[in-house]
Amino acid sequence: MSAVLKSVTDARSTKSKEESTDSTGPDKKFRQRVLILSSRGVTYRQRHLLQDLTSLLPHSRKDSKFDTKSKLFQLNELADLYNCNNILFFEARKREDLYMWMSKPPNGPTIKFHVQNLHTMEELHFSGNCLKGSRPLLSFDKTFESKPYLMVVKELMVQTFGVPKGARKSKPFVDHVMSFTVADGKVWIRCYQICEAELGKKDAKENGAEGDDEEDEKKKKGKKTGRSETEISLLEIGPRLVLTPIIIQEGSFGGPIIYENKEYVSPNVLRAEYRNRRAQKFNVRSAQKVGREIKKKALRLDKHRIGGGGGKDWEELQAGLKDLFQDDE
Amino acid sequence: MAKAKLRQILAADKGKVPYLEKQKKLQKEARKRKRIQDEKEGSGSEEGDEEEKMQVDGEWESESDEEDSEDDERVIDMSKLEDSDSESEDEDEDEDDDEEEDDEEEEETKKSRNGILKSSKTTTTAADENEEEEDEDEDEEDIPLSEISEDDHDPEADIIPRQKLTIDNHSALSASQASIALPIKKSTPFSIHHTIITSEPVEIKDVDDDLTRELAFYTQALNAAKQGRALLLAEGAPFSRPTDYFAEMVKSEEHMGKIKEKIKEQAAMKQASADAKRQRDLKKFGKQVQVARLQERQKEKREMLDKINVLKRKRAGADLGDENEGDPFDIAIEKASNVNGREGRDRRGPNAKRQKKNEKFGYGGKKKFSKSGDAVSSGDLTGFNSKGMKKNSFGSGKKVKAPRPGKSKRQGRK
Repeated sequence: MSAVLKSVTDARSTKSKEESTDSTGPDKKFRQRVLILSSRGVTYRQRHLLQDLTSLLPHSRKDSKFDTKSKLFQLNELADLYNCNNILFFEARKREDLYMWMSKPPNGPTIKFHVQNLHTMEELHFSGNCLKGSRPLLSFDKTFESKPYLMVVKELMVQTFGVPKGARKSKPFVDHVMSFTVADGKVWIRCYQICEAELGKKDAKENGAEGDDEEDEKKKKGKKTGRSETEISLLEIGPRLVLTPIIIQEGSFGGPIIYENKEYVSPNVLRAEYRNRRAQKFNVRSAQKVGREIKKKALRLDKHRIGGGGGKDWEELQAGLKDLFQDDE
Repeated sequence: MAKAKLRQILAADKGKVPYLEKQKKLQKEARKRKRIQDEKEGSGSEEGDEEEKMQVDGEWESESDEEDSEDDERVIDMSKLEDSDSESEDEDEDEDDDEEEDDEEEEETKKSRNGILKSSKTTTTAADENEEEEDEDEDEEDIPLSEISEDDHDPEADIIPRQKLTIDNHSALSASQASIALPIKKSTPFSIHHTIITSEPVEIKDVDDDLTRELAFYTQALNAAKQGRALLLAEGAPFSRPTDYFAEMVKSEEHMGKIKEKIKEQAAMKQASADAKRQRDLKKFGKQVQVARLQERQKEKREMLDKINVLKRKRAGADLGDENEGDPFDIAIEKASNVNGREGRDRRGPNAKRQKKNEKFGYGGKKKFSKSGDAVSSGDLTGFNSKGMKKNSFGSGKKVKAPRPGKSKRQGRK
């Protein structure tokens, strides 16, 4: 009988569970996990940026430096291994350029960004601070919805930088904002702490208290009234970075390129141009030098140094001059 | 070409419709083809060969042939014109048909006149001419590829470098976006997704202007924070951290300490600079004060002298009366007179110039070892400035590195 009872109760419990999942269907948890890693050859600032991001994203999994820069599709396997559905990969090149790959393995799109104006929390002496693991508010510029490629960028950013509700190590309070703005064809990322300066002391007490339903109601009321009384200001936390989208691939680290930024100029090209411009000076000078040599030779000045050498050349010159003047006459 | 023009004029005269003419042309060509075929079959192998030869050599002989044929045709045309005129009077409606017939007649007459060979030539040339006209029209429209590549394309290639192709596959992008998009509806509570989109796109006029740019970001984030707070509170989700809730922060205590120090340092720097500024101002003001004080002193002195003079005069007046009267001013007057006198000045010692000279060149006292250092002087660091060590002889900025000597000097050194 006990077995029967057990089976019945089990069935009932599973049913109830199903019902509960059904009821929470639309509000279903978004499961996000981000694999954060970099390639070899990152500088200390780039490493610190990575550190900052991992501290800001409690749903991230930091991994050791990735060996290869050419076979990036191997990252998909790695993400699968760590049970991650987002990849944030930092590719460092030449110890100065940093590229950020954002991908949705196994078959989501991949975006490659060029990271510029990178400033880590450490070097920016901002007084803002926030709880480790608190969920940020994500503020997006309206421009993100103007173009399809920006829509993709936004979606990926929401999923990688947005901490899902109830994520492991996440805190229930909200004390910072991450803002994403499109300006000059680039995505600017900033992170601010939310400071609430409460004018009324009552609110502080009520906010602190937790308990019965009545109190909850009171709290709500208090907050509602407090909204007018509390003043919100922001303090920047850091880090700061600017991302220039380069390409979007349809697959995860593979597949056809569905977007390519025409305005993007590789830093290598810029550097080469700069170097060329500087070389131009030298080239002009050397050309002038050659020209001068030729001129000298044409005038036969190098051969017959007046006063020096003498001898046959000198006589030759005189003879030549004589001829010249005779011709003139 | 003359022939073609003539034809055009004729056509214009007769009021031909171009569309109909085209049809006629086609018909004519078809007929000609048929005839040629018939001729080939009829004439046998030898004539056919000859024809082919002629066609092959046509390019070379075409000019002379054409002239001949044109001459012939002109004659015929004239006759034809006469014919047509005579006929047109009779049959205006059937002119088109007549034309065709005329053409046929032409050719037949030609055949009869010049023999089979010549006629074949004329037919080919005539047909060619028709075709050529059309070809020429076409040619005018599209320029040969070779010419373009030689003349026009290359300089352009010099000017415009290789340009990236824009790839912006909207459908693929939106499809991939849809495939990964979170199922966020209006009904989903805000506390789940935490995303806020600004109502209007953020516009930054000058991206390079740090202040306005950062302000734009700040306002965007601030609005989002306000909005998000309102939404979260409306949903009853926790927002602000209670004061007794302590947990690990993103920035460690150590880091925050550093930041605090930095802030303090900055504040101190500001204070110091403000102080220095005030001192500078005071110095300027102090000079004025000093001048004023000196003037005051001078004034006092003058007043004093005046007083003394008055007293002296009084005394001179008193001399007549009582000389040994116990005057309380006596001593004072004596003193004052002494101060004013020569003896008083001598008592003070030599004047400033002499004093300086004495100090410099020595006057009195021991001179030996006076300039050598001793324990006190070596311990005295008042004249030392650490910044001065870094200054160059001009007293500003970094040490100027000695310029690298020229090549000849460097090689001479070895």
